[in-house]
Amino acid sequence: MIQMISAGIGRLHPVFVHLPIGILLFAALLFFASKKQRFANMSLAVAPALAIGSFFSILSCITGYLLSISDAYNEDIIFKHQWLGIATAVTSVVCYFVYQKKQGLFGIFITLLSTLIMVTGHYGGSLTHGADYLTASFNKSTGYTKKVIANIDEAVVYTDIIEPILATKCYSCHGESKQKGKLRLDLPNYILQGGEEGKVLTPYQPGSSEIINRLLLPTSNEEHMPPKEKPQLTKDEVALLHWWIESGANFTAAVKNTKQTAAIKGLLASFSNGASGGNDGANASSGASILPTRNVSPIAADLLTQLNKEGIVVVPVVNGSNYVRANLIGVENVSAQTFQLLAKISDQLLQLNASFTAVKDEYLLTLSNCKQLKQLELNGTAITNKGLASLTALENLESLSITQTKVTADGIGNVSALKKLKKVYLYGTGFTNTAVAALKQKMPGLLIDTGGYKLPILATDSTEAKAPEVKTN
Amino acid sequence: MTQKELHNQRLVREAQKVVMQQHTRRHFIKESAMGLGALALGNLLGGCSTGSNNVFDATNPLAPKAAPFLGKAKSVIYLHMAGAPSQLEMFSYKPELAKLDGQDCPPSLLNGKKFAFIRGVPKMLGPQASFNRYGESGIWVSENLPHLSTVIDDVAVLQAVTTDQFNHAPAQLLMHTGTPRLGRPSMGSWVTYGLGTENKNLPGFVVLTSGGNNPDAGKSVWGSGFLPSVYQGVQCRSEGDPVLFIKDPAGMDRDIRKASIDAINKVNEESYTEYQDPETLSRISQYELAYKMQISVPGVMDISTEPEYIHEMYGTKPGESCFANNVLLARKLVEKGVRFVQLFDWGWDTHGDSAGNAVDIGLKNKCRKIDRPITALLQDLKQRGLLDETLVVWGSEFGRTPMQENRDGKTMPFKGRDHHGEAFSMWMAGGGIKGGTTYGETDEIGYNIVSGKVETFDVQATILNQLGFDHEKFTYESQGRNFRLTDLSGKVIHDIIA
Repeated sequence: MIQMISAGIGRLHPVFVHLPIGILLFAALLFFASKKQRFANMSLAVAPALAIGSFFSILSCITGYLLSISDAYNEDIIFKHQWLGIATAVTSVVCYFVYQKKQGLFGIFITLLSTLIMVTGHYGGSLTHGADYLTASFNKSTGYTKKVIANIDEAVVYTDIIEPILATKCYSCHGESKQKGKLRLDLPNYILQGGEEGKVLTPYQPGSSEIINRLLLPTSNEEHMPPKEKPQLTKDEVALLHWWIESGANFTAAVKNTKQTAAIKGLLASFSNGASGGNDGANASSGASILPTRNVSPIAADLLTQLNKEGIVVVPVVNGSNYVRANLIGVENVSAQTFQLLAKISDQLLQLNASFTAVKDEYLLTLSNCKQLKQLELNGTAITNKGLASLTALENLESLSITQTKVTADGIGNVSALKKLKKVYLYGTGFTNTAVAALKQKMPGLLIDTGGYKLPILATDSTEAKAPEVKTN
Repeated sequence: MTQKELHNQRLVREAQKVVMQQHTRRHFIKESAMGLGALALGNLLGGCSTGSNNVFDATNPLAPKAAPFLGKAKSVIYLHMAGAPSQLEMFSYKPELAKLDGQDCPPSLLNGKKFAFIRGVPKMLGPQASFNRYGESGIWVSENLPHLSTVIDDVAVLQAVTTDQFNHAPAQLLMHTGTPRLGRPSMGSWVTYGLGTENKNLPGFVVLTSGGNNPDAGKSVWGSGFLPSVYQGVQCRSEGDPVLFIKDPAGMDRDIRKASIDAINKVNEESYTEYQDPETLSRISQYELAYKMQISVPGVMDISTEPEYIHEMYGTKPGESCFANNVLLARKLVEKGVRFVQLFDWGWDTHGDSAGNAVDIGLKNKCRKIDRPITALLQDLKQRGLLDETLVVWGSEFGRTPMQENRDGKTMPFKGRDHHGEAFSMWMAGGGIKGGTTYGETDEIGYNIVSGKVETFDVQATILNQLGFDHEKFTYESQGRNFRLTDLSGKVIHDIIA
């Protein structure tokens, strides 16, 4: 009973707290104004304003303390707010007496008081509205912008889809700075732990999960979440949360490992093409096709260090993907070891550029394990048909550049063995026209570029246009 | 201790004592109030930080990075014709204008307009070149570009580009930095900042100029603005030393150079440990890059090693400084992993004040000098399998009027056209661009846009899109706010994307 009364009184804190802010700052204003001859009579009001302000600041301290013990808040901010609040109350009382006794020093004290009020107020605001409330409007990224996910199948349901929803719609009351109902939703273990009224979700059973029930209650209902004055979840967001819980509320599962209804599929598709995200990155979806659908683990950090030490440039094909492209342009001495290192990332390697390096035929044998490889550039290297033969195992290869190499027409069988090949660049090789024709017949869909383009020498190429001569007679 | 030293010590003690005595209780209270206030204010302001999202590894600022999206292009060759070539003698076919040749310009075209040089009522000037349709796409190209017309099916022509600047320098800045004023990073700097470079021995952003002059906007047009200075364009030359001031002075061998750079870097590292200024690290990496460039650049920049048929194709003359040489260099640089190659060719400002600046004389000669190398570039990139991944952009800062220029109301000695920002032509090829397309339309005399308007920001947004960036999200925080290359506008031109 006592607890309920004290909590009830505590809730008056937001009512009382604004009085000393206004009154004490007004006292400061009166004091500074009264220094001007015109407003000198205002000094009469300073003392009463200070007295009233001090009274309410003490009242605010008491109600604030009661509120702080009845609900869960960020301990760090509450500590600062509490002690700064007390300091404000004490300073306001001190100000009152200083004003009576020694007006000379009063200016300093009232400045200190004003500063304290503002700082305390800021922390108070951080408690109610969240620490980033002030800056949120400047920082677009804290708002919920549906991020475009290049490969939605590989995306992790929780981190890529659910967490951003919770972050924008729930964290302000159930996050790091505030824990209404002793509930936090910002980390997996807190979500599973639930709040003071028990668990918020039951995996696989969205119907008996408190979080879904609260979301679906009419906004007029007191139990409805988020409170009606706060930004509400969209229907799509509720549907996505529902789907996540139905799929087991797993925190690491990828999208493709879940069951999806047609409606969810539609919602998920909107992530990959950025629809309703209102951005221009729509081209992303068309490019996404080059990423394999299979999920792959990231390259181990120490392996990455080794690759970098060798001088191999390894970059994700797209930000956030574990698939990479490699470039040997920075390798000082390309050796068998270089390719042994590349073989270690065979699962992740999608594109390799080894043009103009000292790559040898025998190294390419090591490359045959890189089954994911889609694009291979070996321009201007010493490779021959022998090297080409070891590439036939690259079953996913779509683009092959072997310009200015010693490959000859005999290599045609090896090229045609690459069933998925779409483009081959053969400029400056020994490929004869008959070989190209034969290759074209075997693989009609293949783009074959043998280069050797020549620009005709035109008469106009060397005719200087001149001003007509002016006759001078 | 000498008498004098003792005396000095005593003086110091006395001075300290005086200071202490003056430090009254009043001072103490005043200072502590100030101190507490300042402390609180610092804390308060600290909480206001929007959290910088600049992705910038100071220890290795040019490290290659992945783009946010899968872009089609990995590098860009941007060919800028400084001075503004006349679209009416190159890509914009206007037979109606020929009929108006020599007539007075109707007042409807002049009312409320401001021109750089035209005063009073100028005469209309018909196209000074004949046009034909080329390729399967049947795009109109003028006789001034006989080679380019053979590869027009690889090119997407933008017919209705517009700018609000009518002087060269601000218009160039707008095109390349997103503002007509100084201080913002250029497109190449943005791209290098976003993607880094895969060849650690070469700069990520190289600038080559030809035509006898730098562009009017000066070096700011390839500057790094508020981005770390390591992202600015490195100007190279095709004649003499490829990069100025990079050669060791006579008598200094490479070991001494290495030793001195190591020593300087050691001092810089100490300075970094003390002050933690990331620009110091950036400086260290620039010294190292410069050292590596001493070896790598002369090799890449030497076009004389190219086979004879390549020289014939491009029309290059090794040892000279010309546009053709720069174009061949651009191909070589892209092949070696340079991210952004920016070419400026000066001398397109065809006002008609001299034969060299006449649209029927000088312009033809300029066209001849770019036609062959650019065509060769597209063909050469294609045969090396690089055109798919290399975006080639051709353009300028604005176009030219359908009226003949009458500087100060006088008849000019030659046929020329004034600056015209309302509508001009550009083109893109490779890097995921749909070849054989035209986008945008101007009226029958090429004065105003009818449809398919393209702003400079749209060009930038499209280039960034092809590299895998969403131009609205690609930002850098400076002076308390996030900046974009495209400022507050820009739309990707989806119609020209394959």
